[in-house]
Amino acid sequence: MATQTSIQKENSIWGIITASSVGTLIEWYDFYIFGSLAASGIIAKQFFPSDNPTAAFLSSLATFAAGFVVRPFGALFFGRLGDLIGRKATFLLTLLLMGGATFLIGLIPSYSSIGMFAPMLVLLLRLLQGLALGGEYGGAATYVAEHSPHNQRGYYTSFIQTTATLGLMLSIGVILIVQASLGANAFEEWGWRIPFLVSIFLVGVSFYIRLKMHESPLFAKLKAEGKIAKNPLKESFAKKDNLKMVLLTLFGATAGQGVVWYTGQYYALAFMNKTCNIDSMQANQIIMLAIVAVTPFFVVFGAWSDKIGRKGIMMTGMLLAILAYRPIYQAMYDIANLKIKTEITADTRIVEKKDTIKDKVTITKTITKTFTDDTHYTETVKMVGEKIIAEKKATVLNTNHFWAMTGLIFLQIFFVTMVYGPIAAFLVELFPTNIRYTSMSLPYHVGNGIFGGLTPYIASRIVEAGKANGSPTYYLDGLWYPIAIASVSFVIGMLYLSNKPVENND
Amino acid sequence: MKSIKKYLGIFWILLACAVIWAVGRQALQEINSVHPAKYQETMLFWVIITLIFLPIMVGMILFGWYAFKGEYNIQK
Repeated sequence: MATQTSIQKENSIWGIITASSVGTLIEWYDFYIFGSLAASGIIAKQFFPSDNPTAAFLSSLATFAAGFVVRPFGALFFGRLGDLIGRKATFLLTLLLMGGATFLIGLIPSYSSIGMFAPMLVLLLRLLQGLALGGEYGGAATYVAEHSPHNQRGYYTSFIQTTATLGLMLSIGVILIVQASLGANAFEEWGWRIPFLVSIFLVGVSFYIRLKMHESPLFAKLKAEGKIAKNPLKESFAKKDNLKMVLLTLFGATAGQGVVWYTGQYYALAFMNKTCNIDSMQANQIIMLAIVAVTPFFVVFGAWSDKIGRKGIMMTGMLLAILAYRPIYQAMYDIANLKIKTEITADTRIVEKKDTIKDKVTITKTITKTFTDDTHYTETVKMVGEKIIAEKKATVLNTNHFWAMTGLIFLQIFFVTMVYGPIAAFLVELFPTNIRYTSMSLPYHVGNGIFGGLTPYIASRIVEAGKANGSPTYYLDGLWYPIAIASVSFVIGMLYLSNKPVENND
Repeated sequence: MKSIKKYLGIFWILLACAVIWAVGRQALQEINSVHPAKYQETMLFWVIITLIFLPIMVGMILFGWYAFKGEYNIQK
């Protein structure tokens, strides 16, 4: 009888994990489609033409504001709601909001059809996406943790931790598949809408699954006992005992974790594309392969943290990242550095093509080079008169270098699995049930959305400054940002965080 | 260990103040020297950075103060 009950419990927790993880995965997918398409320039072409300064302004706002500023507000708004009305209803709402906003972005007519309404609508929907994401993660992590036995919280919540990375992979994968099926021109013209529109089916399925779930048992118990927080925001941030834990969590854990996450996945991709000039299709393949290989380690470290504690694993991951980033990025740079390769000059081709578009003569010059180690390089420059209107550089690595690059990205995401795998359980255990959703969501989204999310922008700016100042290793200068934040977080975490879960009488 | 944690509190306060000063200085320097064509973009970047980092650094000052007061020596 006891065995049957334990099997039923086991089945039920897997149902809960599946329902929560699928929804969270879809939300990350929705959020990253915009980022991935924005990085490729398609969003700008459709909605934010660079010759219109207001549209360009809205573009920057959509990129910055939604990703970084709005997420913590979403955490506060939905965190409060989750602590007042329950976890289930709240994360159903965030799912609908995210899915609806994503689907509608796919339907917005382009700037050439409706003018300024297009970028304004995109900005509005992007802000809604950021708000929804701010509410989703805390709800899913809390919901799964509150269903899990105390000694297995790390293991069970680690499945939620895989969703951000898998969501990024899914978004890149769907874009690559649609692009390959339709061809580059059709994709740029209308095919880019498909990844947005597909979201409504994914969200529909996930909503249906989540609808059938029950409220978290710990929240239901609090509700039955009439112990729900009257004002979760006030209790979370106006009471010193809780506020000091929120601050410690932010500076000693999530800030460092956020920069390690975004350096390992987002900045690594930007570094391959912009600094190493690696062909974007190949760079995406490298990231996807590394993600597939490394994802099981989220679960390994989550489960291990149940046995040896969360702090040791997270701090080791942070320290390894601090020490290894510069050697790793130097190796990435060297792999793609054409200056240290030998060109087969006899194979070099230069092709010039003239087109007349709207009475303007456009010259497209394509240079292709081959190197002795089988690296291929293509440079395409489009000019109108003397003015360069587009420039594209693409290095295609040979097989050995492709795998070496994949290994270097794997290593960086491996550090991510160490800092990120146990963190949901760690956050959940720091705060009491009645204000948990609110209290854990804010430091998570400030750490990830602001410290982490700004990594590619701040690092790129430091690289540009280093280049302008003539720094010989300017391409590594951007790493000082994640190294500095992770170092501060490491010292604070090591000194002030406890390795034992806080007892909250759950 | 308790006194290291306590006196590092002063360091966290000073570090937060230094970040506020550095961000403000860099923002003014870039905004004043930027090419007019990039003025709006640069302005937006620094306004957002300042608006979001200022309250976070105030949080760090508070964290340093709690550390200095020994609040993190007695954990729940």
